[in-house]
Amino acid sequence: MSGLATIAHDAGKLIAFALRPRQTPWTAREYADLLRRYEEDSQFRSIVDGVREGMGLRIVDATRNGLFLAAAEGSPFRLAADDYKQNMTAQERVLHGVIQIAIAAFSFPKADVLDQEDNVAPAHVTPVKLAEYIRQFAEAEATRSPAETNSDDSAERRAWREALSRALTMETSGGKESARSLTGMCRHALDFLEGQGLMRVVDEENAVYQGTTAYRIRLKYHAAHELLTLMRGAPTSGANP
Amino acid sequence: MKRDRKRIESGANLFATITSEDSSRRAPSNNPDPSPRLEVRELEEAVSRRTRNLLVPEPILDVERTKSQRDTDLSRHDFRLLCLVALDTVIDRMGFGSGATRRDVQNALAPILRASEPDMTTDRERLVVDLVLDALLNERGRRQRFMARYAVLEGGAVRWLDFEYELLEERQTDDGEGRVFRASKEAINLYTSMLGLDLEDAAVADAAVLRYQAERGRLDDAIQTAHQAQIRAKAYAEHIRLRLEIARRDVEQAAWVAQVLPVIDEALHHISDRIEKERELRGGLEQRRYQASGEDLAKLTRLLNEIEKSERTNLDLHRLLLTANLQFRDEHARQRLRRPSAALLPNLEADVLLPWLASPTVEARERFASALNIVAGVYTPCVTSLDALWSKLLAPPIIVSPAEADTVPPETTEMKTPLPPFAREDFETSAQFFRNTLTGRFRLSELLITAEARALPPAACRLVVLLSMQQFGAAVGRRQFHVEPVGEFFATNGFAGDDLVLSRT
Repeated sequence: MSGLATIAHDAGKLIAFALRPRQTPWTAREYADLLRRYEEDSQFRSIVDGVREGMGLRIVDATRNGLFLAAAEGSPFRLAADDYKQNMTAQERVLHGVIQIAIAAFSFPKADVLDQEDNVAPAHVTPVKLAEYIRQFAEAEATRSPAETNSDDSAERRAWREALSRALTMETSGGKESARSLTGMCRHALDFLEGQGLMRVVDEENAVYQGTTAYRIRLKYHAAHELLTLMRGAPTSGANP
Repeated sequence: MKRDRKRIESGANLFATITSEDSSRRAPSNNPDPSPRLEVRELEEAVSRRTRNLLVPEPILDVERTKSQRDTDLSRHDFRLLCLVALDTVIDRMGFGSGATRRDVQNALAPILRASEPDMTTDRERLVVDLVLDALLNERGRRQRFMARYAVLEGGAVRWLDFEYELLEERQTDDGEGRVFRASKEAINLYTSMLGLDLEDAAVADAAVLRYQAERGRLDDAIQTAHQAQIRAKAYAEHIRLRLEIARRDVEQAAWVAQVLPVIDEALHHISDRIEKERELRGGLEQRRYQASGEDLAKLTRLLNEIEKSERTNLDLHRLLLTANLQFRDEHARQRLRRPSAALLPNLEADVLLPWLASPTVEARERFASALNIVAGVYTPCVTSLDALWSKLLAPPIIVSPAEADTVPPETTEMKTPLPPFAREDFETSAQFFRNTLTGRFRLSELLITAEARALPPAACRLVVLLSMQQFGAAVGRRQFHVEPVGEFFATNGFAGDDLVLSRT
């Protein structure tokens, strides 16, 4: 291989490491070496940046903890709803969206908690705790004074609350957790994040999870702002790499 | 009298001057001298600081206070003691990038728990350890900083403020796999009873006291002081490390130059002085150790260990301070990603989750895919090729051969079918045999030869042997004939073992 081809080969390797959720520079020596090279070698850095931009990937963070990427609109690396859970109903999509936001908010409720050092471990979370957390917030939202709610979307709000209450009522059906109950959905969400290297299982028997350093980094340097932008209705940076 | 009070209070707590001898009698407006106003301000600051000091132990006191409300009986355990032992374990293992593991904490608490509750199960032990750690981490508050409201005096008026603090935090270790606990500055100060003191002043005071005690041979006191000093050295190192980390993340060159460089200079000056003084003290103590013996030798060794721990912490901090500026410049030179500062980060609960829950269903549904990609990472396609697929399909079947352990099997004997139980006739035959044959002293081997000669059935022969063994050492009330060992081995008629002599007497 020529010099440039060798650099491109190594650039591909670095991006491949970044795309594997469970790989960390602490466990793969080559990954750590490539990260160091990315920091120190400007030619290597421009080739890595060029390749990943071409693939529709943007950098969330690049430190000794790893190279963290996010997929822009149109990227083949973008998660589709079916990658998350197959054959979801419209209602399930709504609830799973809330659950993902709730996991982030449960782990890092305030800016100062999110702003702690990258390797500080957040609170433990279980599917049951998370479902209860969502229920409390949903109830608080439901009891807001009518003056605060917009009469135009009251029907929409009702549908929302009904979806949530249906999921909540499934909790105890037959004394067994249903995958369509709120707790069951929370478990799926946490398991999915665990597969993405963003959660770790602390206690399998009691289903205790905890956000990883990668999860904090993703939220702190990318997701928190993007979610806020999304809430405000402005286009997110996902539109462009 | 008031002047005396001031001196005692100041001396006992090493606090700054807090009161004046007659400030209550003088109205500030009638006095052109600015010092009373200054003293009033100092009083306000001191009271404010001490109020905060009263708040810091609250999480520990709370877990003790509320233990009776839990599902299980915890009355035999004092959570104040357990929390402080946990803090001691964590602080002792703290260094740069390290701390105590859950196992370390559990090992430290286990003997105390078992002393209070000897029949404690492992599960229950884990439960208590979890309660201790959860209290210190504020797990109930999802590991947010503890917050308490308190009142302060400001120019004679009362104002309410929020005081935020933390006691313990959990960190991922550098290998990415482990987790360790680290104590906060407030926790270290709480543990060393130095809340409200200036860390640098406390370190200087420790050094002076340690030297004084060591020079006068008060080795027990010196060990305690050295232990306290090494914990305070960790508190100081943690304090500086945190300041540098916060400054490093907020990559404003101007703030670094104006605010952080002076801190580095001051800390370097302080730490160099500490290293020099500790080296001198250690040199003197090492010479004394060469001449010491017995108990003094052991005490001097312990004292030197404590001083060495403190030296290690100070040297690590010294190294960090020397390279801090260089690291910061490198980061700028490489034009690293500009990370958002804390002020710009949203509150995920208030700014995102609540509005999300309040939004119409259609919008929430449409946002799902975007939110998923923002929060949950990227999709990693499983890359394969047609060649790879063919080779997989055409590959020979996998033959699973169970793994065999590389061990030598032990020599064993197969159990035979158990012999049938004895019949009534067998007992009668054997009893008849004893009555007819045992007329004097006979060896068991001789009796067996006779039995064979008289064609005694095998079951009856076995009973003869078993009854002989039963009578050997039988209680007097159950003894029917006398049996004693011969001291010789026999093998007759399919029986083998130590021979016995049987007689009716």
